[in-house]
Amino acid sequence: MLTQVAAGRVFDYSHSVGRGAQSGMGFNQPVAAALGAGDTVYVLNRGIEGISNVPWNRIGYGARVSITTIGSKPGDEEYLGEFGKYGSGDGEFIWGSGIAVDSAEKIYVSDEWLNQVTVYDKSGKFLGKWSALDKADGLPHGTASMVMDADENIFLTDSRSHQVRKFSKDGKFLGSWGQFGEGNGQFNSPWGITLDNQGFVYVADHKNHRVQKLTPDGQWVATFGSYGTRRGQMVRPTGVAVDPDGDVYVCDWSDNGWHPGRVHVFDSSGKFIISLIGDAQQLSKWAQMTVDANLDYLRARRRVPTTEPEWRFALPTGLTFDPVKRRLLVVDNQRSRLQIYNKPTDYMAPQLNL
Amino acid sequence: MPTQNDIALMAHLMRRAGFGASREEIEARAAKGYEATVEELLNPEVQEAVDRYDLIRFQPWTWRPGTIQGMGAAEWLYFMVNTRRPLEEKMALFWHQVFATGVSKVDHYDEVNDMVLLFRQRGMGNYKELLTELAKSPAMIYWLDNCENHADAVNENWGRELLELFSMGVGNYTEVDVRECSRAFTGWTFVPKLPRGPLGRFDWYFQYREEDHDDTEKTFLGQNGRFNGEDIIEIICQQPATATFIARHLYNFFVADEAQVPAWAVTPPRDQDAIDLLSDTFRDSNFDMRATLRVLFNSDFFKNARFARLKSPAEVVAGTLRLVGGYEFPSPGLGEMARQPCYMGQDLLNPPSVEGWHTGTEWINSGSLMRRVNFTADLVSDVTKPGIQSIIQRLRAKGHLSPEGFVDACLDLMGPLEVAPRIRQELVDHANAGGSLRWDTPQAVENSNKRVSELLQLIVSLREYQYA
Repeated sequence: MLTQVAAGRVFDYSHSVGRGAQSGMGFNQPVAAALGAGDTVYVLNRGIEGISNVPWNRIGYGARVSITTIGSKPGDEEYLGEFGKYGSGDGEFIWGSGIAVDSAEKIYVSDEWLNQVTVYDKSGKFLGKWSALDKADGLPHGTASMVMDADENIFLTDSRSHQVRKFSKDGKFLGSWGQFGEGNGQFNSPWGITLDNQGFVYVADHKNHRVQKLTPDGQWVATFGSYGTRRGQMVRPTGVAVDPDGDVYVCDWSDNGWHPGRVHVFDSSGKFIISLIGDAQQLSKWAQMTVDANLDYLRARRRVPTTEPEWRFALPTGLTFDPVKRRLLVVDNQRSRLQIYNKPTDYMAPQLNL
Repeated sequence: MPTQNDIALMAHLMRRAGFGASREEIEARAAKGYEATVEELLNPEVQEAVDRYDLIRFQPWTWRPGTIQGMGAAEWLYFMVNTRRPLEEKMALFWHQVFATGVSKVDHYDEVNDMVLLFRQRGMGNYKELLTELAKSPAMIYWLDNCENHADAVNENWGRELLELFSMGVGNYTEVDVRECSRAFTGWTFVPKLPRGPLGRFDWYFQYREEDHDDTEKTFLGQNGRFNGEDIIEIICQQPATATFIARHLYNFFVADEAQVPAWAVTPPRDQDAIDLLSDTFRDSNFDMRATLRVLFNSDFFKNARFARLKSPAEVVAGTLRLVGGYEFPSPGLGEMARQPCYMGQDLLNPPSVEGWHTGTEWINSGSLMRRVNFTADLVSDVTKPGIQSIIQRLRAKGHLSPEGFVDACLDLMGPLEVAPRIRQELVDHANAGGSLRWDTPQAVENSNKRVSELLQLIVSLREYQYA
């Protein structure tokens, strides 16, 4: 369903942006997105491992930050540029994992292999980088997702030490909390992280199959979801977002009938509302360009009994809610695109007996 | 307390039924007992399975990999290195060798990986059921053109290979049987998939098209009927030749190097009694692979076949990675690692033909041998790796070691490996240059670590290390 109405809310599919591309118009295994000024969105692409035909030349393809506008309807999107690439030098990342933008529109990218945060200006110029390790505690580290609070401090999940760490945006360590476990306030491979209007922290507790709500200093407040595939349950949640109404969005890898990938919506009390499974019935502008340029793709698309598999999410990894335009951006990793849902307040329901 | 022979026998079992094991694991299993270990290997469900999402979490490209050569085997290598169900994974490798299907034609790693998943899930179950599922595998259907096999235009590729390479072997059927078999599989195809561009890979699904199936009378291996594919598989499984064919494959893969498949029609088995025992068990158990493997691993001919077969490249790579340790996490470079068997002559998921790889000494040429030695020597040279550290700790626990003791201890911990006296003497001559192995000062420790690294590199360069 393109439009779903549930519990007084409307989730109205808008359009998708992206296609598979190692550079330029499109994304490559995107893992996270952050809002810039106006309609600009920064999309962090994990890329793929690639090897040219010599074994000593290991390369990652497609890793970069894409700068794009997404518009408000199909075809509005515009490619603005890109920066960063696979590597361990300045301005490069191996496993880009999280992205955030500050009030000066500096872009922060976390790297869960190098365990560092790299800072760029909005044109992609490298400004600096800092280690996201708080101390030499002997734990393996995997700096995963990130979010910036109202004071522009950064919360980072660490999927391998099962912690959340807090840093100033210039890299000063401010504290950490959490440990491995299944209890309240404990984590098993935490991944996505976000904040609500009141400053509460929400963590996608990936391998505990739940989302935890905590105070900014790590005191457990509530748990959303549990392992399973029934309503309100989840399998390996990856990303989390909260809208200004307090609704909580969780993307996970439960099956949607074609692929692993759903977005579950909960109200602020943790009551399950509805699930989205992906609705990209229309190709994005850039994806359509690829098809139009390749007659065999066009023919192949005409012989399938349904295009439904491409509508659906495939391993979504990130969520961003745009509070100004009241829309949810779902980072649809395997399909290298964003799927965008509006949450209108002025929706006029059609007559049911039309 | 396990004897040295118990240890050697358990190491032999774990090399064949798995990808080798650390000395700690070998000792623990030897203490538990040989037959108990065989039962544990035959019942993998008691061990936790590898979760592919632990890999996808960090390497999302492995979900539906592109067709960059060799990279698509990354997930499989991850499974081989991490599995706690070694025989399950070894059987997947076995069936991949028998039912060889390659991306060179299929051009979708994920579809061939789905076959590996089938082998992992059903490889120790009923052969007849596995064969039926194989006939429905989209990768196989495309690989052997059954999607082009129509009621009014028969394509014999799948029908021919089903008889020649997947069940009975050459000489046990006629050209008419091939034709009739192929007719029975008309209509077995798949639903077309969305193209790979612009949004990535999608899936094929098996589809039976009744309107494209030739439902008329057929005569197959002397039997008449309006046979469909399942009927053909039933008849195939009743043939003594099928049991013999599977038995020879099992012998070649698990026991000792045999003549290659094309020669089986004219070359008798290396051990006819063993083949008879395995084929009888296969038939008596109603084609149960688990029952057949139980007899194989508990047989004297298996126990007496130590170092009687050359390791395949996959065994060299996965086995050495498991030996040295530290490669369990899906680090950057996993894709490159997955290409190593390819460099040694075994491009996983992409066999050279439907006949699979030729094994035994045919694995070895000057290039592939160099690759094997360089790869393994590079890995064991790193004394920071946990598996090498474990060897060093065991050597240290023995105190000062003479050059002879040093060599013997390393050969023991790397296998135990059995080497000819001349080879041992060459290793001792090398060790003699450094004198006794000592650990009593920081400088001695540093020097001894270096010497262990050197000696291990020499050991993996030996002919003996290439044998399982």
